Amino acid sequence: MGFLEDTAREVLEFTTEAVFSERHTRKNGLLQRLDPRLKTVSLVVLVATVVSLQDIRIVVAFYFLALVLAVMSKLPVVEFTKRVWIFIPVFTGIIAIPSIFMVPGETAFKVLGLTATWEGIRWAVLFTLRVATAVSYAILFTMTSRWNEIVSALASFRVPGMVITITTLTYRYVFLLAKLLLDAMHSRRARLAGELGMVESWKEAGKHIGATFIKANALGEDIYYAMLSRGYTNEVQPIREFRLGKVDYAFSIVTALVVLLTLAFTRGLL
Amino acid sequence: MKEVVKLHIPDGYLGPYTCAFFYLIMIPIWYKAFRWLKNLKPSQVPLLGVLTAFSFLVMMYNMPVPGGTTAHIVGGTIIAILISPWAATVSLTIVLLIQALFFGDGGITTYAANVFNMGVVLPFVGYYTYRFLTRRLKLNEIVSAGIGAYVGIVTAAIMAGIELGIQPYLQPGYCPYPLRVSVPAMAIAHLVTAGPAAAVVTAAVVWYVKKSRPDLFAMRTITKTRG
Repeated sequence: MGFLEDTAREVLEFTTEAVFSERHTRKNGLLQRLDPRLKTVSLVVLVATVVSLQDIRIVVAFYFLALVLAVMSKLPVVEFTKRVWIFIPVFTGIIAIPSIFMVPGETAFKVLGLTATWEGIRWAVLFTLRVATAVSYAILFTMTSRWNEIVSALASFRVPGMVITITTLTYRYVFLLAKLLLDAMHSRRARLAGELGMVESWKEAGKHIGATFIKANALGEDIYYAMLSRGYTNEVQPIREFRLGKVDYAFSIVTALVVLLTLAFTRGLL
Repeated sequence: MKEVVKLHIPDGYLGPYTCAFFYLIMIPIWYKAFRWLKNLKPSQVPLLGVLTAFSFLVMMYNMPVPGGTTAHIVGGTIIAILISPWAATVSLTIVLLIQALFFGDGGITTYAANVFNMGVVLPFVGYYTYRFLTRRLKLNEIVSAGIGAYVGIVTAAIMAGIELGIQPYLQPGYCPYPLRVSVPAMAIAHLVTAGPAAAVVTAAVVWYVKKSRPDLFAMRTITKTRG
């Protein structure tokens, strides 16, 4: 496949991904009902805890906890699991497999003159599971959070207003620009006889990116006037006021307990 | 799944100490970058929003590279040359946040390290290489932009290689390869694949913008506005 097709595929995957995630954010599940501020903090805490784990059994427990959360949030478990394992970058395997033979330790088996060690296997399993578990929590968050809620949550964490405005505009216009890019790829493909060479496709990409930059500039100005005419005063007001409910309190207590117990256990305090 | 050369470090590759260290490093840089935003005129805020969407999009271009794989480019140097390196830092901070939170791409614990590599090292090295070549050596702007992008992306890759390579010395269980493996691996991948692609693409962008809208290029739209 060439550059035009690959880029078009990438754009399509991106939009499908966004639509896919958006669909699940509307369900009435546990994570969807949580206060976005609380959900953002919990996600960061959970992922950070997972990344710091050294014990395979605890990583597995956290992985199952992610599955339980997926079920409680009415996400399709098979699809969720598939996405996690597809999302694990290919190089996780590329990195994990050689280490089975590289880490010194007790011999487990020999293949083609290479010696696999139990230590190496343990390491590869721990590493892969930990990446998968961290990705699971990230995907849980992605599939249950609406964009505007998260932006409002960021605003309540005192992220500067200007950054919030830019982030909102980015998310909104990335889809418009993506559509323009897709159209450009298709129309170029339609007018192309044969295949583009490697360096040719780099130059072609450069011209496309240049044209997109110019379009983006023109768009920026138009958006500003459109915003002004709708009463924009250089300030963004978060749309919702958040209030913590019973579910939020229960969720934060459980998360805090899980994390604290894990930390206590891994540090030998329990 | 197709193999792709890219710079994002996922969760689980860097240990807690490295992640925390980069969050600390990023605090003053973010402070400076967000202060730079105050120089913008209100009418330029939407522009930066659209340009951030633009840098998001630049990462979707799938460039064929030697070795049968494809590479993504970051576009940090493009924004740094056309607008300002601080604009690139702000844009990449937002792009990587959206990717990490909404597309499960990159990582949450590794977010600060990723922003440091792609949003600070890459655009600043790229931009200052470009500036040195055009101002001191009086080289052509288009060629300098290409060289700048090349040096920028390779330096960022070496930085990522160092971050990954120090893991075995800090704590076991993260990236297993020591510096002597990780740095050459990252550097070579970018020297021969993503680097040349980034160089040609960036040079072509600068050439195209200069040819079609010399006014945009000459203005350096955002940086020289106040006063």
